[in-house]
Parts: sequence; C-alpha cells; structure tokens
Amino acid sequence: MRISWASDSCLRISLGSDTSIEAHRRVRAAYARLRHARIPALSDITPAYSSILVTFDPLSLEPDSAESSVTELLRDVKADPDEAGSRLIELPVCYEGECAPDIVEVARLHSMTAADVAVMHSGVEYTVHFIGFSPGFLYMGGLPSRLVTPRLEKPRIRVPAGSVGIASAQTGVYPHATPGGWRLIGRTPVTLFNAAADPPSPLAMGDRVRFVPISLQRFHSIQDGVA
Amino acid sequence: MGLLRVVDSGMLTTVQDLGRSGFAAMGVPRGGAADALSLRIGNRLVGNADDSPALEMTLTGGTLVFDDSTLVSLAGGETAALIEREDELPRLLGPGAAERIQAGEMLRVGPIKTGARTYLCIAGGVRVPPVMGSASTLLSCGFGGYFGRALRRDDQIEFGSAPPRFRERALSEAGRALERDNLKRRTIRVVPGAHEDSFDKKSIAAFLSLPFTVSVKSDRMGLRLDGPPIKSLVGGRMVSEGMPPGAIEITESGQPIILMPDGPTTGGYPVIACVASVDLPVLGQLRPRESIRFTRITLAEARRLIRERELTLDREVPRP
Repeated sequence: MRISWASDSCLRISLGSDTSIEAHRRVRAAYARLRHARIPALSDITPAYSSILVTFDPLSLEPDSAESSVTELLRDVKADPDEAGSRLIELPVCYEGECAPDIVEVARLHSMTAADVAVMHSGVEYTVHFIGFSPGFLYMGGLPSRLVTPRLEKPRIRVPAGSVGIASAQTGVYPHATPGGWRLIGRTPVTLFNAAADPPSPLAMGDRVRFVPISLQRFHSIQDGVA
Repeated sequence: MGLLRVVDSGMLTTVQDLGRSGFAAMGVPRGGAADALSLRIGNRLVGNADDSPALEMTLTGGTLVFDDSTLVSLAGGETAALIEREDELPRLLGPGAAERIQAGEMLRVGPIKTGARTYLCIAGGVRVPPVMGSASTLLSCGFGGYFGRALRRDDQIEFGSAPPRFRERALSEAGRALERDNLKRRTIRVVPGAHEDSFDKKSIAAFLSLPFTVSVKSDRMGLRLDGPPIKSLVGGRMVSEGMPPGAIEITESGQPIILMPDGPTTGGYPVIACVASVDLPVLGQLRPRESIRFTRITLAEARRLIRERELTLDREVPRP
C-alpha cells in the first residue's frame, strides 16, 4: 500500500496496479474502513480498480493529520474475502439487433458468431469492481478471456442508456446516454441509476452480476413497463 | 418567498450551489458552481450561506422578472446588468454589489465581457428540491437543479425570503481585487499530478512553459486545451482511478483536458498535474479561445495560498 498526495487536497491510496480481483478485494476492505471512519475534513471517497482517492475540503484540511489518520486507519487492512457471500443480481440483456451494434464485429475479431459472444458473455458471473466515470456506470471484472477486445478506435458521441459494453478485460453498463468508447454488445432495459432513489444506484461494489439474455421484443416490453 | 420568471435564459443558465459530496463511490461528480469563489461572494453579499443555490449564467447573461421584492447580487464575470420597470429609468446592478429589486421589476443581465460565468444570487436562495443533498444541476444526467435541465423561457422558479436585516452593500476595494484576480488570471498554478512520472522531463517542461488555448469544445465537464501535443511515456490509457478536482489528464493524442465539476469521477488517462485549489474558481471563468499557461508550485505553497485567500475573503466579505 502506498499513500501519496494526488493534489493539494486529495490523498491517493494505491493498493495494486491492475484490474485483478485481488486488487479489488483490497480496495473493498480499505473502502469499508474509510467509509466508517470519522476523519476530519474528509468530503468524499472514490474507490476504483486498485486505488482509492480520498478527497478533503481544502479550506479545513490539516494535511499532516489527515495523512497520518488515513495511514493509521489502513495500516493493518487485509483483503476482503471472495464474493461468494455477496449479492447476486440478474440483469436482463438483449444481445440482438439495434441493442448490440458492435456484436458482429466483436464476433469477427474472435472468429466466432454473434450468438457465441452472447452465450459466452451471459455464461459467467461478474463482480462489480467499482462504480465510476458517470453516475451508476458499473465497472465489472470477470470477462472470459476469449472476449477480451480493445476499445473502439473512435469513441461514440452518444451511447444509448443501458448499453452493455466491453473494453479490454472489462465489461460495463452505461446507465445514461453518454459519450463512450466501449464496444456495445447488448443493452439492458433496467434503470441502473435513479437520482431520486436511496441509494440511487441499486448495485454496489462487490455485488455479483449475471446477464440474462432476452429477446428484442422482451427488451421493448420491459422498457415500456409492460413487464 | 417569491417567483421569478425567465424571459430570456441566455446561452446556458443553471441552478448551482457548492455541489454534492459523499456520492463519488456511485460515480456522481461533485458538480456545483464552476467558479465557487464568485458564488460564495455573491451569496455573502445578499446575506446567504456560502452554499445557497443561485443561477449560474454563461457568456450571454439572461433576463428575469421578479414577482416579489428581494435582494439580489451578481458576482463573477463582468457584465452590464440593469433593473428595469415601466415608466422609470433603469438602475444599474453593479458587479459585486447587492441591490433591492421590487415586485414586477425586470433584471436584464447583459453579455459577459470579462470571464465566462456570472452568478445571480438572491436573498434566501433559489428554491429547488435537493437531489443527493444538493441543488446543483447535473446536465449530463438530467438531475438536480430545475428539473435536471438548463432554464428556458417562461420557466418559473421559487426564491426564498430576504433576511430582514440585510441591505444593499458592495464589495470593498480589496474584495474587488480578489474578484479581478480570479477573472483575469491566465497563469494557472498547478501541483504535480499522480502520474507525473509517466512523462519525461521534456514533456513536463513543454507543459509548464508553452501556452494553451481553451477549446470551444469545453464545458462544465472539462476544459479541453489546444496546443503542442504533450506525449506521455504510457502512450494512452492506464488503469482507471479517482480523479481529483482540476486534474489535468493527457489523452492519447497529447491533448490536455482539465476536469471540471461535472467531469467523470474516475479516469484512465495519465494526470500530469492538478490545478491548485486556490485556482479552481479561475477555471470557471476561462472563455473559449483564451490562452493560458501553467506554473508549478509546491503542495505547501498551494495550501498556504488557499488559506490566505480564505482569510482575505472572510475579512473583505464576511459571512453574514
């Protein structure tokens, strides 16, 4: 573990250097401690793949004491256990037609059919490593190695809400229409971020996710609320 | 309590306060005023708490009609603003001043001449339902503020009641100097970024010595800078991680992007430097096509500067 200042008011806690599940378990354990601690001037905590950013209010920050509080708090932190005990959430995903604009190209890159991609992508359990980038965006690990695919060379200006994408060894869901460079292989009709709900994101880091394939017709009926 | 009606919303007017905290782990950015210093000054001038919601007007100003008497102030970008009523000569609402506005009067905020954003603060604050503890509008996701969107013609927004003991007042000379520095600063002070070692000495020297132009593709999420491409040793992306306010990421094409309040909570481009807290408000006042430079300071200097700025602010524009 390395703790350093990433700006005049943010501490960066480095717990690894990759997107592995081992790094994720260390992040989860450290995040749980930070979240329940009372550290003066702390304003937010941003966990990611293998690091955590702790943001302080620059107007009331006492840097030396903040740094030593965080160091002391995390001194003997271990990794969380595996995800067997975490929630399993099933997300319906349509891997067809306009829901999956890049699935044919992804299949071609891996010399398989679009149906193979869907079967493979929905055949495993993923772990939510963290939520970041935009509200509710799920970064998930566990993508089968045969589906590891580089990002698009040119990102899309607008990715439809609910799009399920893959980029290198990650898979993710875009809850809002945003720009994005991941390859889109499906779309879920489920709302993954509701600002008025508490909590606004129904999923949290450490949750397990399984994608359940649905037809285009089913996608539209869920989307229209005829479920 | 009263209502204000939007006659002309200008280019982009949104409700903003000092943003939301505690939701970064759900990917929710802090948001809030792009120039938090001016919002705080404007709020103090009308007797509000620093984090009262106000209207952030961008580049072109806007026009509003008030149905009840209250106290208003404009802080931030310099503009000519007039309070008008029928059959009377208009009154000027100067920058950094609080003025009484009467029921039925119209406030016309002209184009911003210096800076990019001006804050219309109203005694008692603009009233919108808080979302995750803040009134700030997050345009990219359509929540917060006024129905999650920018104001449009004929929108009607509630505002609070003026505290009775508050009256017209104006900024002191030193208070105005604080605002002027914020509006006119073109050398942005930065501290080393988390990935400074992903850049060779030559790239860092280029970043710290050459001018950059604010791209027209900039917004409340990020300021994109045009200039000499800055090459990182990692080339493109790294493992995504949390981004501090004012982080300066370098894209694979070598373009710097300064993250703004509505920007992503995490990012995967290497961060060459981070804007010092004291200069974060300056970013909100940069106009497209303006030229800026960066200068490096130490963490200790950055922290000393923000403390000193707070002392000046509290002395010149005391909290109500």
